[in-house]
Parts: sequence; structure tokens; C-alpha cells
Amino acid sequence: MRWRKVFETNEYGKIDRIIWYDQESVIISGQGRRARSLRYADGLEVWQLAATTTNTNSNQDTVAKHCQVIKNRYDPGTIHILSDDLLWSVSSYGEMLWSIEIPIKSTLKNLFLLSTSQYVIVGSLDSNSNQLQVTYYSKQDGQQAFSSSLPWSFNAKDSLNKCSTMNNLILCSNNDELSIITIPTTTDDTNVKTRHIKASSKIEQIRILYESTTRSVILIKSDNGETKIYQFNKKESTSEWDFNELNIQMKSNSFISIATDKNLAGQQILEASANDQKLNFHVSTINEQTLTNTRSYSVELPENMGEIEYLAYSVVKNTQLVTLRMQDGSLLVIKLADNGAELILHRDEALSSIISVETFDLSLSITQMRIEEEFGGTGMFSMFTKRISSQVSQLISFFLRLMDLFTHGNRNRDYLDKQAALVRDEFNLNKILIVVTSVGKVFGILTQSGGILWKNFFPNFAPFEHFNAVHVPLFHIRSAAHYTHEPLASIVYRDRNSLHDTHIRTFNPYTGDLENNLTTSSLPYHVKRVFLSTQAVDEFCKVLLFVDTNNKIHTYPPVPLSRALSTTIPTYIYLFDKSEQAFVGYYLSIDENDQKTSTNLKEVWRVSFQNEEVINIHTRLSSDRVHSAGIVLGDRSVLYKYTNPNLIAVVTEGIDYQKVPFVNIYLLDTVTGSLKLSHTHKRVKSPVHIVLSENWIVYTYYNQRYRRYEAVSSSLFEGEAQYNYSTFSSFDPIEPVIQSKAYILPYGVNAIQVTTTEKGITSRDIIMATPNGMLIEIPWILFDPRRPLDLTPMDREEGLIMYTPEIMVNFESVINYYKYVYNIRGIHTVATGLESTSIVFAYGLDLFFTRVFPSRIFDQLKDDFDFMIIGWSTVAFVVGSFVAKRFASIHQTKKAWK
Amino acid sequence: MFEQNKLSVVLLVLIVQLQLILTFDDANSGSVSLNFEDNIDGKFSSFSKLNIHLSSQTNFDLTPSRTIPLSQYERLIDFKSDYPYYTLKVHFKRGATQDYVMTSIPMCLVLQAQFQYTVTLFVSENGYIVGVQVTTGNSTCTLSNINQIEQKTEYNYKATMRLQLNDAGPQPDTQRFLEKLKRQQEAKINSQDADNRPFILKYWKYLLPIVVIVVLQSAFTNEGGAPAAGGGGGT
Repeated sequence: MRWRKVFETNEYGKIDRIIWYDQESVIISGQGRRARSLRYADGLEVWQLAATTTNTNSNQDTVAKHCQVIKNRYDPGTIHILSDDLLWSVSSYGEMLWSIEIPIKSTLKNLFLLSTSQYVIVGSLDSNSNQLQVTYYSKQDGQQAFSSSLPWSFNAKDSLNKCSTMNNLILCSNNDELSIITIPTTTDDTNVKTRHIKASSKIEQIRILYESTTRSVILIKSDNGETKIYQFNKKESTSEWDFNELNIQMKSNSFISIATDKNLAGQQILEASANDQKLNFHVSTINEQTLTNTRSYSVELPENMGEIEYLAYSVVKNTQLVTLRMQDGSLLVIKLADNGAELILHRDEALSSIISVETFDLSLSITQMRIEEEFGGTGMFSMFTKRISSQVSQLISFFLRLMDLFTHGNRNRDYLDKQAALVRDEFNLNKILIVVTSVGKVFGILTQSGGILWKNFFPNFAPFEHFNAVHVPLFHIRSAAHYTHEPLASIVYRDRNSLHDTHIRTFNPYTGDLENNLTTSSLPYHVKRVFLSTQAVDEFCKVLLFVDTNNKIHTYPPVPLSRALSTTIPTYIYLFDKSEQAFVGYYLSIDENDQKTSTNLKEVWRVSFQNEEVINIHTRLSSDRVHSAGIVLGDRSVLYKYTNPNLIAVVTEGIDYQKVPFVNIYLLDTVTGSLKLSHTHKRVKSPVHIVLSENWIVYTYYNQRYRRYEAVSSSLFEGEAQYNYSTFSSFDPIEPVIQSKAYILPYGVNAIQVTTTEKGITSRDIIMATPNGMLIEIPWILFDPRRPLDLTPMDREEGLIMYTPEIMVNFESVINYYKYVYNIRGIHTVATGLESTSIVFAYGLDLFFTRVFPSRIFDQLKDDFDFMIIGWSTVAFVVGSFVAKRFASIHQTKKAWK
Repeated sequence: MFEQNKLSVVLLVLIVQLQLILTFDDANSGSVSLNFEDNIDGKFSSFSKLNIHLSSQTNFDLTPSRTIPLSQYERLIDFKSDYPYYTLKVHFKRGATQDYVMTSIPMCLVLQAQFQYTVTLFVSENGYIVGVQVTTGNSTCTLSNINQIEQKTEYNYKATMRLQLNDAGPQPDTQRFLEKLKRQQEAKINSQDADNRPFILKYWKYLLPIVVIVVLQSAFTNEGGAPAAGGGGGT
């Protein structure tokens, strides 16, 4: 990749239209409020212009804004932009030509933008009189020249969805009819002409394939799959157009693109269609009404990529290039040549839309498995024989390997290396990441190299909605701990076409091969929530539990609930009711002898939010471990932590009676429905990012009053005495003591997460992704709510740091150095076999993977550890002690002779 | 003059009254009516009703409208249902908004405490009830123990209610931190000012080397045989 430019994450980064020029392109973004130019050669942003607008309130408008961008065909260096009520023109070399604000009326909506050699024409719908008001503005200075109006039968929404503009034409589809409305271009000609084209059934789509001042080509697609292409030619010295249908036979799923080149005789039209793992192309030259010189190409794709989503055909220096975006997010560039089509670029752009991540341990090697087996026996004799036999086999395999090395040398080296990469290392540092993307492509990625091991594409994929985000449940059905069985992972997703249907796909995370016994597309109920059973059922497999819309719980594959869930500890489930903004808790009791595979849930608690909207919830990581139950204070007494495993964090947003916006953060106990913490922050803006771990919560938000990002850290404590040292129950009458402190953050926050280690002994670090591309590792001690303003010797003894309102970030704590990663949406942390080490995987537009050591490397030798010195000094000591012993004995003997 | 004063006082009183009315109005809209229901008969029935004004008081005693006779109490102990939970449902009405919140605890905890428990209502920023919690002071119980507790002819609800409002979230404490820095700086300046030791004592570290150098130099020049004091001055 030569260069790349990352745009803003806010609305100014959303591209409305790109206009291509020879050396650079003009990009209009932010609903027509920003224009900038990027140079192809080096990606340099040559210029940027912002629309001058006096109407500042329009940003807060909840009404979806509408924006139209056109390049003036008569003067290609001029671009006209209509953004709601703002009309402005820029030139391709970065000059704002003029900008006017069209007077706003609530009944008038600006819809269409057309251009001629003299005028910029705005078509606005007057919903009162059902008329389209056409206003002409001078192209030179934006002065309003004149206006006219014509009857209009569509409403504003239909006009936007079903109409397109082209030169001085407005094309609108109305069921099976296409209306072509010619807008007059000069003052003397006021005749509005409307003509119609009949299609065989309802028109789904109108696409403009090619547009110039004298010729245009459009495509009309009907819902019965029929596609027609019309060619428009301008009549000499009038503003009217003639049209005729091009004689072309097309498949229903094919895409069309047109290329023009100075060297080409006429235009070339490309028809492309995807068929399983094959792409077919037909290239023809457009003659008057027919196509000539049709050539066909086809190219085999390396994997199934679904349908074509976008197609562009271009001829660059006599090279025919086809650029495609496929349904799975792949970017393809295909070169068409005389000897056939050739795939010259394939990028998995889907990797920038990851929504779920899980990690799996790699499999044990054969020798490691034998060691596991070695200690498997029960009786003394069987244990002895097992041990001997396994050691004999180890010896044999060692000799075989030696033989292989001598006879074959390094011939199989590549294959062996590849195999070795899939085998668990000594400290379980290398894992396999399973990532699910929002387009339905699942990847298996090896962490040591970042290489993609396998990929699977599910074409009818749609993710579930989860508050204001999307999410795909991804589960460990069988972990890698059972070396005799292959591990299994499951994803659950909705059907793209019928959102009530749920699909379950279970696969082997090492190979991506589907396990057909645990894969289904037909669940007889509508799924509201899915979670994993607490107990393994058959062959170490866990089952999925579904809550349906009737609040009934089901198992998949159907097994008795008594086997999937604990019968001694009751199960509590919470669901969120979006229409009532309420969390409802349910209780599930299972009789041991019960063989039912589904049962009803009983409502036990309810928490409702009035005049507040729940925008997000956050649960603790399932791998969260609490190592010590308390903190030893400076005076040697213990402050016990309130480690309630049933807590979830709930974020709500609202406006109070003084019209001040606020954000509330609650810690909700999901067994009793009680609130353990409730914080209100006024004049604060979401997104709120949360980390919930052990007995503490850290959350960040944007403070509108001081215009800065802040973090709040709260810890919950039981106090000086512990209510019950062995088990925790949500029914314990403990009133947790809450300590909180707020801190100013030096950067904004895109995502935060806490490091995870195997036993939770290592201290915690917060990993924070910032908008400027850094991943910062901040010790939790800096967020500690117990940091005192005045440090007493007792606090110093405990190891507390003095309170400073700002969290200072040292540049050494940026874990990605200069490899900046942008638009990070989530961070995934996993424990490794080493207690000191935690794995961090950050995903968003970019992916980043590393290991962190929150308490330094206390269980490993440093890389520069001098084995020679230790070895030689040991040898020296041994030799020295022998020498000394000899001398001592001689000395003793001499002494005895005296 | 006096008249003017009087007028201003009257105006002030008027303003205060107006404000009082306004706050009263506010308090009026802050009034919440509560209806407590529980499920000891297998279905929900009300046992207490209450009207409260927010921001005036946080602790209340519920006045029960019914009692639990011994027969029912014993029936509850023998409860062999698959739903061994005591569920408290609190309906609330504030202005035009009406909703309910709910919580449950094991039935035997309530029986053990003989219907003496604390209800905590969580009240949101806008004065709506968000959640409810019931605590009895115990977390474990066995039904067999309950039988040994003294028998009464009927059992009364002894429920106290507590309102818990949302805490204002903490703010970065820049004010106190800056004050502290200022104090430290002042202390530093003061300590510098207070240093009124004699000049020699204060700067002996800097003076000593000079003295030593001078002494050594004079010693060396002495060795050369030149007159000690006059040597420098003479040239």
C-alpha cells in the first residue's frame, strides 16, 4: 500500500461523494459540509474547504440531512454541492467560488441539484401545493436568476429514494413506469416535458452508468430481475434528449460498468456476474444501438466471496482493469488481457469491521499429549506400564526424528514449520484468534505471525442489535483443554432476509471446518437472548441456551436443562425491554430429575428507567479472577473488597427537569435487581467506555462543560470485616462502601480494557485506545480511588500515590510505539500460561496485537540473562569447593601430626 | 427613606413568597405515590400505601394494611412450591407516569425475620423509582430453625423504607489540588523568608572553598619567600 488517509470518526469523515480528476480527487464529506482534495501520487491533502454556514443549530437537527453533489459537465473543474439549505460551489483547485443559503421554509425541501453551462438549478418540493419549485442560480456568482414550478406527484421521501438526476433530466420511477422530466435550461424555453418508459414490472433501481453533456447511459432494474439499458443522446441545439434501448441480454444478478478512454473507439461496457467461486465478465463496445466485439472472461476466485456489491471498469493505458467490492468485504482488482483475466489484488477489507473476538489455545503436540496420558492410570501397575511405554515411545520417536534428519535433511522444513506454528508453545503465549466481522466473514488468525489461517464466509449473515451497537455471540463450545477432542466454537446470527430466523454455525477453530451436527438454520422460536450453559454435556461440549420471545428457555442441541445448568445453584437471567426501558430479572429452578429441554422463566425483579435511555451495558470479562479478597492497609489491617460477580454496569442518558443533559452510571446486581452504585454526571456526553473488574469500575466520558475527557474510578469495599469469607451471595446484607475519584485524561478515548492474567496476581493495567492512534497502558494504581491528596506515612507504607487530578501519560507507556492504529472499536485481552503476561488485541480500522507485562517480567529470565556467567561460576564453585575440601583435609592432617 | 426600605422589604418578601410557591410547586411534582404488594398468597396483593415527597425525608415506616395470621405463616413454612421466593412489587405514580419495580429474596429469609425487613428504593435524577431492594439482615436460613422461633397468633409487617438518591458523580478535584500546590509554594517561600541566620552560617558552603583556596594560595606564596600580605597588593 502506497498511502492511506484516515478521515475523522465523526460525521465529517463520512464520504458523500468522490469526484475523480486526473491527478487528484475531490472528496465531499460531512453531509456536504466539507470538501477536500487528495493527490493520487502521495496522498497529500492539497486543500480543504469547510462550508460557511451561519445556521449553527442545524448540526443538532435530528432530521436526516440530505446532500447532493454534482460535477458541472460543461465546466468539469466546478463542483456544486447542495447540503439541505446551503448551496455552494468549489473549483477543483480549492477555491470556494460562492456559497449561498437558500431561505428555509418548513414546507419546502430542497431535493434535486442540476447544472447547465450557465445555471445551477435546485429543485425543491413544496409539500403544501405539491409542486416542484425549480430555482435557477447563476453559475458564476450564485445569484438567483429566476424560478418556475411544475406539478409534482411524489412526496419528499419517495422523491429521494426513487429519483435520480442526470444533466437537465430528473428520472423518477413509479411502479412499472419511469418518468423522464426535462428541465428547461434557458429563460426563453419554459417548456417542461415529461416522457415515460414502461418496464415489465416494478422498477427497483435506476442507475446512471455514464453521463456527459451529449450522451448518457442509464440502467433500469425491475424486481423480476429484468435489466434494461437505455442510451440518451442530446438533440442538437435544444435541451431535449432522445433515448433508445440498448440491445443487451443480461443476467439478473449481473453488474454493469462503462469505461471511456480517448484511445478507445467509442465506449466499452462491462457486464460482470458472480457465480459461486467464479467471476464472469463480458466486455463489448457500444455502437449506435447494438453491442459489438463482445469478449468473455472468467476468473476463478480463491474463496467464496458472495455477490458483487460494487463494480468499476476502467481502461488505463490500454490495460483493462476491473475493481470490485464483494459481499464479504473483499477488494478485488482484476486485469483483463488477451490471454484471459487475472486476479492481481485481493484484500480482505472485512478485517476492519470486526465485531466479536475470541481466543483459543493451540493444540498440544503429540509429545505433550503423551505426557498428559502418562499420568492417566489408576492402579499402580497400570501407571507403571503407561509410564514405561510412553517413555519408550518417546525414545523411539526421538530416534526416528534423528534418522529423518539424516536421510531427508531439510526437505520437509516448510511443512514442519507450519505444523509447529499450530502447536502450543511452552508458556501458551501463542493463540488463535477467531474474529467475526459485520459482513459475515469469520477469520482464524495466528497470533505469532498475524497470518490468516482460514476464513469462512456466511452469505446470509446479519448481526444482532445490542443497544446502540451490533454484536454476534461467539462461544467456546468445547475448549482446547480436552486434547482428545477437537475444540469447537459457535456463532449465532440472524438471517439477512428474515431477521427473526436464527442461524447457528459451529466450527473447529483450528481449521474453520463446520461441524454439521451442531449447525442449524431452523430454530422453531424467535431468539431474544443466547448464552452458554455452565456445564459441559456430551463429550465436554457445552450447549447453547436460548431465551425466546415468550420468555421460554431452550437448549440447543436439545438436552435436558438439568444437565446443562447447575441444579444446586439457581440460575438468574436478565433481559432488557427496549420499549419500556426496563431490565427484568428471571429465575430458573431446575429439578434434578427433570428431563425437560425447555421451560418458562419466572420474573423476580424489575428495574425501570423513566425519562432515561439505556445506551449501553457492560459485563465483566468471564476470565476475570480475583486473587486477594482484601487490601492490606498501612496499619496492617485489611480492607475487604466487595467482589460481587453478579454486577453489570448500565449507562443511561437523559435530560433533567432543568433541561441539562446527564449521563447515569449504575452497577446493577442481576440477582436481586438492586443498585450498588449510581452516579449522575451533568453536562456530560457519551460514549461512555467502561471497565468492570474485581471490585472496581473505571469509566470515561466527555465533559461538555470543561471540554475534556475524564475518567471516574470507583471501588467497592465491604469494610474492615468480611461478611462471609468462603462464598458470596447477592442476598448478603452488605452495604458496600464506595470510594470514587475522578481524573482528567490527556487524550480522548476510543476503547478501554483491562489486562487479564491467569490467576489475577499480577497488578492490573488499563489499556486505552486514543483517537490519535495510540494504545496506552496505564497502571490501575493511577486510577486508584484511594489516592490521597495529602500523603501520610501510612499511605506511603501501603504504596499509594498522591492524588493529582490529571493522569500523566508517559510516552513509554504507548505500547504500539509509532505503529499508530486508528478508529479502534474494541480491545480484547487474554491470559497466557505465564502469570506476568497478558495478551492484548486491539481491533477497529486497524488491528494490533502485543503482549504486556503489567508487573514487569517477574517469572521470566531477561533476554540478556548471562547463562555463561551463571554456568561457569557454578562450575567454579564446585571445583573450588573440591579444592578447598582437599586443602582442608591436608590442613587437618597436618594439625593432627602436630 | 424608611418608606423606601419598607417597599424593598415588601418586594423581597414577595420574591421569597414567589420562590416558595415555585419550590412548593416543584415539591408537588416531586410527590410520588407508592403501593407495596407482595406475593405471600401466590398472587400479588397490596399491603401498604404511601405518599412521599422527595427531598424532604429519606426514612419512612410502612404502615401495613393487613397482617399475616399464624395459619398462613405456617402454611408458608411448609411451602413446597417450586417458587420459594418472597417478591415485593412497588407500584409508583409520579405525575402522569406510572410503572412498577420489583425484587425478590428467598421466602425463608422473610419468615425467619418475621416480616421485619428494610426496603431500599432507588430514586433517579428525575424523581422516578428505578429499583428496589429488600434486606432482612441475614443471607442464609433453614426452614427447620424457623419452627423453633416463638409462635405468635399473627405476624405484623415491620418494614422500614429508605430512599436512596443518585450520587453526583465525582469531579476531578483540581481546586483542592491547586490550593495544595499554592500552600506548598507559600510554605517554601515562607521557609526561605524565615531563614534569618547570619550570612556566614547561610553561605558557609560557598565561602569555605574560597577561604581554603585563599589560604592555600597564601601558603604557597609564603613558601616562595615573598612577603605574605603585601605580595598581592604590591604588584
